[in-house]
Amino acid sequence: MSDTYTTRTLREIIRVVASRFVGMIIIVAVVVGAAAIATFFAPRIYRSEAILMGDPGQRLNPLENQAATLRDRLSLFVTTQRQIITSDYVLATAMLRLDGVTAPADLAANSQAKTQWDQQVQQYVRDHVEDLDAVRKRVEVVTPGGTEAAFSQTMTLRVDWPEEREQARRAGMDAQELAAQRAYEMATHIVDAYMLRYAELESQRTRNTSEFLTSQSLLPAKDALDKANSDLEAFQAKLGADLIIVRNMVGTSVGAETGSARLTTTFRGDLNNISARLAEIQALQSAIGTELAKKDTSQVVAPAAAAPLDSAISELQLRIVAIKLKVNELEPRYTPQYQELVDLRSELAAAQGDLRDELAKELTRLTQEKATLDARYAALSGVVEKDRTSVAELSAKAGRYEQLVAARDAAQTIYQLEQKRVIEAATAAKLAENPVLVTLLEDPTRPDPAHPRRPIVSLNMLLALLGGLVLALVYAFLADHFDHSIKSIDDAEDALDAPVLASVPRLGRRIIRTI
Amino acid sequence: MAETSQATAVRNTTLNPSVADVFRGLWVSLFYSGRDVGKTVLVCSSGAGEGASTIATALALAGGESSGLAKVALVDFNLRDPSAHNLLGLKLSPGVRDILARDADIDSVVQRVNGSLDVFSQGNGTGKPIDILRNDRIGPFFARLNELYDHVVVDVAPVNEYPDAQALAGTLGSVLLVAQTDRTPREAIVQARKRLEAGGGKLVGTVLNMRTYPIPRFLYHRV
Repeated sequence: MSDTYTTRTLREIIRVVASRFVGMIIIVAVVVGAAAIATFFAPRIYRSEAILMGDPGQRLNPLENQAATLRDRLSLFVTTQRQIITSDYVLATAMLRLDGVTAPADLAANSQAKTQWDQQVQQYVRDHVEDLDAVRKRVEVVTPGGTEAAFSQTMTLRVDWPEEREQARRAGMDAQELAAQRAYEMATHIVDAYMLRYAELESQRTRNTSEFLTSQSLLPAKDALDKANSDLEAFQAKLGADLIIVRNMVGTSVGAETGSARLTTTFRGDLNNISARLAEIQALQSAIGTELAKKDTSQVVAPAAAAPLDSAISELQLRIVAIKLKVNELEPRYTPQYQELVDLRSELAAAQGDLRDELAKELTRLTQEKATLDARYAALSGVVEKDRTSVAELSAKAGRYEQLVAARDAAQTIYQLEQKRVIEAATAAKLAENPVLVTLLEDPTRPDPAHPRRPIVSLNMLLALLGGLVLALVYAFLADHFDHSIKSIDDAEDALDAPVLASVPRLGRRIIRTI
Repeated sequence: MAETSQATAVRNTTLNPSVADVFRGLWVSLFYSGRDVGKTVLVCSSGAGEGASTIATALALAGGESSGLAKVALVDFNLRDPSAHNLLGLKLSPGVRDILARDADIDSVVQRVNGSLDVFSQGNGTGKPIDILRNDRIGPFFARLNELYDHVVVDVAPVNEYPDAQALAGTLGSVLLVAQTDRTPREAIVQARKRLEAGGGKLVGTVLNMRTYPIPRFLYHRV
């Protein structure tokens, strides 16, 4: 007997199962027993089936461009029919019929009788909410693909009726026969009520669409759009050459008013620059003028503002300062007749003369510049004045243009919406012309009272057995997991570091015998 | 050893043959396999009802089978629930309590089961367990037993429930712990060992009682 890891695991599993075997058996037995009881006492059901067929017609609507395939339409159709069949109205009508209340025959023609009957049905719906819910559970609409599949031309109406012992006793009938009969009758009545209701809903829809189509709301919308378009064109013709400027002013993000404002601001900026420069020149001129007016050449000094204008002036200025420094240095030490001092004095006088000449030249240059700037200023202010009037004119035009475009766009939107609605209405009308015809393909079947539908016993038992087994295993392993008791020699040796010296089996008899 | 005043047991007391070998094996591995056990071994369980008294008695019986070669004494020191005398069909009194309370002579209280096994029952007495455990005569009593016998087996109350075993462990040294399979929790035996070691005892081994084999025999040999 090899004691590998796998066999130990396997042994552990078997031990868990074997040690709780009785509990597991009890759990399985309880589950299977409960399932058996539930199956045995499950209500016996009698089923009546009727097959309905919807013929969607082959002519598809040419106006309809939203790719409505036959499959989509059938799917929608079956889903809708399922809802109609299980609606309160249809079920209540069928129940009334089952109770022996019949609708007047001339419902379609006589509107007063129709209103009365509707009220009666609605009253029944209000009074029997719970009954109707119970009945709805017994009615099923199935397509060949199953309960949820919806694309099919045929659908099966299925009515499952349980035995009603109380009613059977009152009617003095066998419960099985009564249930079978009522299943069949209910199926018949539901089919009748549904067909009637379907026809009614269809005709109502046709009426609604034709009402809309005759109102013709498309034409006024078209007229409004045409007028807006012609207004816009006329205005554009009047604008002529200005059209481009106006369009630019009405640019995507900038409105007419801001457009004109932008134009004026540019000119204003130029004018301000020029006048600032003129004031500067004037100040310089007067400063140079006062220097030149001095009789004594040695007193002439370059004004601070003039120096950076001309490099010759700044150079001379520097030279004069240097000579003056030297003179000041020599003067206290030597007599005025000292040769070097005399030379320096004459040099200084010459430099001062040069500076004076340079300043005179600068003055003439400034006078010339002032003349040109004056001329430009005059010209520019003329332009600004002229533009101010034309800009005002243009922005007024642009505003009008904007208004017209907005009006045209609004008219267009309205027209498109109307167009869509008309197309939809026309589609609906076209559809209403070829309604899906519902026919009863197969009459409701009569269930056999001797053979009710019952749950499949063997399948239920099998499922219960499997479920019980899973539950029992969960119990065994959980119980083992939460059980801390010592189960084996290994357990004891793991818990204590002492060896297990003996393991005494459970005998069921006395270990020590005294005779 | 002196003749006892008590009549030699008239009954024939034996171990159930299906487990006799288990206890013989336990005896051998305790005393004859080089373990550091000494002459005296204390037998206790962690909780009540786990079979320590039965195991102790059966162990003494197995040791007493050796046809006079070794002298074995079984001392029922279970102050809470004495039962060795019942298992062996002996009398409760006189016994250990008489020695400790009145300093009775050892020979006057001993009950002989067979040629090799002498039993000291619990004895009569109303003394509180705490007074008995405090008694100064305990040490000399066990010292005397060590002189007279080759092996002494002492049954004592559950260690997790009463302080008796903890108190005796210091005097006697070696302890054999009994645990019942599928009942005693792992935590309980760990706790028991801590208590015994705190009292100065030494755990020499464990005995698993009431062992069951949940895997059916035919399966057990296949997996």
